[in-house]
Amino acid sequence: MRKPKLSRAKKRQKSSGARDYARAAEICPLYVSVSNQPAKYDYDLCHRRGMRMDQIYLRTPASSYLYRYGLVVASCAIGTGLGWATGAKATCLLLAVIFSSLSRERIPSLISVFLCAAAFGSFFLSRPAHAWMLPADFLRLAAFLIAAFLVRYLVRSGRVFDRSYRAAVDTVPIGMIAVDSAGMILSVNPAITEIFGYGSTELKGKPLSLLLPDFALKCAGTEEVKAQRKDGERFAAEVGFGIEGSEDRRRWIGFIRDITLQLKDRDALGRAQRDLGLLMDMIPGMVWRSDLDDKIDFLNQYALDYLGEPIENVQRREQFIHPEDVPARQRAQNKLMSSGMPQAVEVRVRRNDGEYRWFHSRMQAVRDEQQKIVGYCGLMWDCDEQKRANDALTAAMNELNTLMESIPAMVLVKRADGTVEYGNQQMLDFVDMTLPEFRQHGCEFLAHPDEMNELIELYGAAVAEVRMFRHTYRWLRHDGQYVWIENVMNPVVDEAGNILKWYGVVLDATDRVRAEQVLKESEQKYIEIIEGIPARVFRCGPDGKAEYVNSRHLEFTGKTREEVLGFGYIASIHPDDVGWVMDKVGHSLRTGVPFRETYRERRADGEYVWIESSAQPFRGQDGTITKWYGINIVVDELKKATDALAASQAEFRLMLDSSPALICRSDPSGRPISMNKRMAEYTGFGEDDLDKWTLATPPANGILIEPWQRIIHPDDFAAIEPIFQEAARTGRMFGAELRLKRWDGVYRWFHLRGEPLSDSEGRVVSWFGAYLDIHDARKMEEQLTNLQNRLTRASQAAAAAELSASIAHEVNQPLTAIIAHSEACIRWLSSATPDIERAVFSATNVVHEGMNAAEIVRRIRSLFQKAPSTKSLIDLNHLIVEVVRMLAARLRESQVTVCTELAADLPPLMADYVQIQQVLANLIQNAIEAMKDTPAPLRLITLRSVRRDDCAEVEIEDHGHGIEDITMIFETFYSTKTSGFGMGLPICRSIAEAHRGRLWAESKGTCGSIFHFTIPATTNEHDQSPEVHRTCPATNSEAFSSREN
Amino acid sequence: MDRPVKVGKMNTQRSDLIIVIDDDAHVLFSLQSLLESAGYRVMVFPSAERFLESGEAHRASCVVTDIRMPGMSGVALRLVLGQQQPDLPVILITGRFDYVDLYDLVITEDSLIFEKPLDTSSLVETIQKTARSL
Repeated sequence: MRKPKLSRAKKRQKSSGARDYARAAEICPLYVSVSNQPAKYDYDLCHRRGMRMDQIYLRTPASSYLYRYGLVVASCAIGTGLGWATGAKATCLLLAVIFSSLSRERIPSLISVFLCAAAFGSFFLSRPAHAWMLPADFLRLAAFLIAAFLVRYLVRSGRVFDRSYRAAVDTVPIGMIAVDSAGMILSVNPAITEIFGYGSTELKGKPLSLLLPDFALKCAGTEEVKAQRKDGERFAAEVGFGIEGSEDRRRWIGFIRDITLQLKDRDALGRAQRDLGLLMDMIPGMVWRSDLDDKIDFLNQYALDYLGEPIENVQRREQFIHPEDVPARQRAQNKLMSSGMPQAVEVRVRRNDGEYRWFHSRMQAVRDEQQKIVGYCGLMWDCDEQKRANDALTAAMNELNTLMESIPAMVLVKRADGTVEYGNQQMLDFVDMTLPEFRQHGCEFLAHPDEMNELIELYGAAVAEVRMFRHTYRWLRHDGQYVWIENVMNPVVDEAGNILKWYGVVLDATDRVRAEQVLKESEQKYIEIIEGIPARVFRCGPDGKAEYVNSRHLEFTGKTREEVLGFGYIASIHPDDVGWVMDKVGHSLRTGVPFRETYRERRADGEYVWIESSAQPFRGQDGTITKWYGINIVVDELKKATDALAASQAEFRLMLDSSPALICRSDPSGRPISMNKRMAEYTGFGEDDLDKWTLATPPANGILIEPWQRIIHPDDFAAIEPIFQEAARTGRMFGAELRLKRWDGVYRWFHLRGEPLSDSEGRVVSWFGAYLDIHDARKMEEQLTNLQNRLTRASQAAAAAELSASIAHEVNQPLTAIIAHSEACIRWLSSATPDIERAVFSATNVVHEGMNAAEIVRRIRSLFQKAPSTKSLIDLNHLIVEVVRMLAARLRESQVTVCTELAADLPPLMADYVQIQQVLANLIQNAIEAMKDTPAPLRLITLRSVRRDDCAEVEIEDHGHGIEDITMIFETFYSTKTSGFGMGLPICRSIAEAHRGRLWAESKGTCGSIFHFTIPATTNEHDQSPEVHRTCPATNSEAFSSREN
Repeated sequence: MDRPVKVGKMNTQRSDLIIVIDDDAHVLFSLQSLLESAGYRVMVFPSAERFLESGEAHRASCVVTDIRMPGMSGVALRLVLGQQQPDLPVILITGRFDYVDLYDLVITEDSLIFEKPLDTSSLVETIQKTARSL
C-alpha cells in the first residue's frame, strides 16, 4: 500500500478530527491526493484492487460559489456593523476579515480583504473626504492590511487541510470508519452508509460488531471477513484498521470494503483454468509441455490414452517413436532448442496396441512476459490416412512422370506467364538441356526468327480468347537445325476463367510439312491452269456456297475473293434474274441435275451482260455430291442476237396472226406445214391435223389434195385442182377465187394467192398461200352490179320517157292549133250565118299548122342522124367471152350457167364492137329473163359461134318459156316483160341490119328458144356502104332508129 | 307573137269576155279564132304577167291559160286570180300532163284542165258552163 504524500499535512495536525481524517486518508486503500486540483485515484491501485478503472474527480458543487462569495460579503457586513455599533472599529474589522478568510479560496479572501480596506476608509476618514485619507492614516492602514493578510493566511492554512482530507474521505467509495477503543463507532463516511444500508447518523455509538460480527480489532494489515448489512445479508468484506491518537484517546481508524465482486471474479478464473484443462484433454491430438530440461510436465488425456502409459513413463520419448523417425525428430528438437523457432516434423508414434501411426508434430518454445524461454510445448495430430493417401498420390505421380517421359512426343507444360514449367525427356533431349536449364531458358528461343512475329500474334490470340493454340512451325534442334514441329497447347483455366497453365505436346511435323509442300506445288500447277483458262471457273460446296473462284471471275465482277465466296456471287446477278436463277440453283443442288442457265450478271463496269453458267456435280465414292464445278461464259452478243431473232420472229408471227388473211405454208407436195392463227381458227385445223399430214405420203409427182379437199367447196375444187397441179409443175405463182369451208360448215369466198419460196437453185422449197376473205366484198359487188343494172335500166327508161314527152309536146302544139282552127272553121261554116271569110282563114291556118308540125318532125329526126358509127376488125369469140365475163355477176345472181362452144374458123369481121357487144348482152339478158321460172339446175345458156359460108353466126340458146308469137317480138314496143319497153329486139335487129347481117328467133316451144345473129364476113374494107353507116342508129337513140325501121 | 292580139270582130249575142293566155302564138291565135267562132269576145295575152298588167281581169268572164309558160305559170296565175276574183273560172291547158306536179293537182280540185291536143268542143262547153256573168 502506497503512502499518500501528506508530509506537510501531518506536521500541521491540530485537532483530533482533522487527524482522524488525515489518518483515514492514509489508511484508505485508495490513492488519495489532495491539492487544489480535483483528486484522482491511482489507476494502478484501482487495478490491483480489482476495482473498476475509473477516474473519480471530487468536484465542488456549483452552488458553493454563491455560498462562498455570499459568506465573504455577509461576514464583512456583520463585522462592519459590529464595529459601528461597539465603536471598536479595528476589532470588528478584523473579525470581518477572519470570517471572510474562512473561505478557503484565494479570490474570495482577496475580495474580503479589499472590502475591509474599503470599510477602513469609511470608518476613519471624515465624511467629506472619505474617498481619500490623511497621510497619518496610511501607516495605520498599512499595518492594518498586514494584520488582515496575516490573519487570513493563518486561518486559512489550518482549515484547508482538514477540509481536503475530509472531502477525500467523504467521497471515496470505500467505507471509512472511526472506532473508539471500546469498539464503539465514532464516525463513518457516506460510503459506509451506502454499503451497509444504514442512515448516516444511525451508526454512531453502535458497536463495530454490528457491522463486522466476526471481527476483532487488531492492527494487522487487511483481512477478509464476513460483514453484515442492515438487512442481515452477509457478504465478504476486506477490512483494515490502524491506531490513532495518544494512549488515553486511542481510536481505531479503518476501512471496510465490499469484495463480493472480486471474489466472484476469482472463482471465474478458477473455473476458466479448469475448462482449459478439459479443453486440452478434448483436443484430438497429443498436447505436451516440457520444461527447459525437456522434462515433460504436461500431457493431455489424448496423449495418455494413446500411449497407454502414465506421464512418469513417458520421459524417454524415443521408445514410443518409430526408430526410423527418431533422428528426424531429434534434429527438430535440437533446432528448436538452439534457435527457439517453431519446428514441424512427421513421425510415427507407437500406439498402446503397438501399431505405429503417422503423426504430424509441431513444437515451439513457451515464453514468459519478458520473452524469455521457460519451456517447450507441442501438438501432434494423427495424419496417418493423409500420409498414406499422399504416398499413393506420389506413386501415381511417379507413374505419370514415367509415362510423360516415355511417350514418343515432346510434352510441354507452361505457366500462365509463358515460362516453362515442365518438359518431358523427349523435350529435353530435343533441346539437349536439363529441366532446370530448360525452365530457365524457356522455349521462345527455339522458334525461327522469321516466324517469331506470327507466333507471338497467334499465341497472343490464343491467350486472349482462352482457347487451344495449334500451329505448325520450325524449332531449333540442339544440333542447330530447324525442324518442322506441330505444337498443340491447351489452356487449363480456373473457375474465374483465368489461365492457370498450358499443357501441350510437340510433334515432329517434318514429313507432313514436306508432303504438304509437294501437294501445294501440284495444286499450284492446277491453279495456274484454272487461272489461265479464259473462262470464269468456280467451285461450290454441296450447299451452293462458292468455295473457289478463279481470278478471271474476280476480274469480271470487279470484286474481291472474299466478297464473292460463300453466297456473295448472288449479289452480281441481275435483280430480275436472281429469283429464278436461285430457284434453278436450288433445284440442281437438291436433285444433282447439272445446272445450265443463261442470265444477266453485273460486270465490273456496272453493266449487266448475258452469261451462260453451267455446273456439274462431282460425286464422292459413296455417290453423294461433294462439289460442284462450273464455268461462266459471256454470251452477251449471242444472247442479244438470239433475243432479237426471237423478237423478230415473234413480231413476224404476230404480224401473220394479226393479218386479216389466212396464211398457210405448205411443202412442194402440198402438205400444210404451218398456218397462221386465223387460218387455224377459220378452218378448225389443229396441230394433230398438221402432224397427220406431215406423216402422210404425198402421191408421187403430185400434191396431197386431202387437206384442200376438206376446206375447198366441191364446186370450186374441180376448177382449183388443175391450177394447183399447174403451179406444182411450173413453180409459178397462181391466184384463184374459191370458197373455203369454215369450221362450222359455212362457205365463204376467198381470193387465194399462192407464192412459191425457192431456194438458191430455183427449186420450190415451200408454198405460201394467202387467202383473202372477199366474201363480203363479192356479195357487195354483186349487189352493186345488180343495183347498177336496175339503175341503168331505170335511167334508160326515164330518158326515153322524157324524150318521148318532149317530142309529144312539140308535136302537140301544131296539133292543137290545127284542131282549134278546124273547129273554128266548122263553126264559122255551120253557123246560121256562115262566115265564109273566116272559115277560109281558119282552113288556111290549118294548112299552115300542118306544115309546122311536119317541120318539127323533120327537125327532131335531124337531131339524131349525126352520130357516127365506128367499125373495126373484131374477134367474135373474144367478144363473146368478154360479154359473158361482163355479165358474170348477173348470171351468178340468177344462178344461170353459161356454156360456150366457140368455132375457131370464124372469118374476119368488120363491125362496131360496142354495138355488137350490146346486141349480145341484150340477147343473153333476154335469155336470163326467159329462164326466170326455170328450175335452177336447168338454167343453162349455150353460146355458139359458127361459120356459115362467109358469115359468122352466133347462136344463143336458152331453156326458158319460149316465144309465144315469133313475129311480134321484133315489133317496137312489144314486150313480154312487165318492166320492158319493147325496144331491145327492134334495136338489136336494126343494129344487125346496119351491119348487113340478120337477127331472128327460133322457138323450141316450151323448152326455150334460140336467137340467131349473123354478121357477114368482110371481104374488103371499102365494101362498106357509107349509107348503111349513116343509118345505123346511135346506141343511145334506139327509140328513133327502131321507128325508122 | 308577144303583143296582145286584139279581137277583130264581135259576132255574138253574148258579150262575155274570154281571156286566153299562151306563150305559143299559133295556139293563141287558133284558140282566139275558135272562141270567137263560138261567139265570145276574146282577149289574148302571151304571158300571165301581161294579163295581170292589163287589168282586164275584172271584166273577164273566163280565163283560159296554158300551164307551162315562161315566167308565171298558169297554175300560179290561177292562184293569184283566185284571191282577186274568186268567182272567175280559170281553165288550164297543158301540153304535157305528166309535168303537172302533185301539188298543182291537189289544188286543182275541179276538172278545169285540158290536155293538148284539145278536145275543142268540150272546151267550149266547159267555158259556156263556167263563165261568169257580169
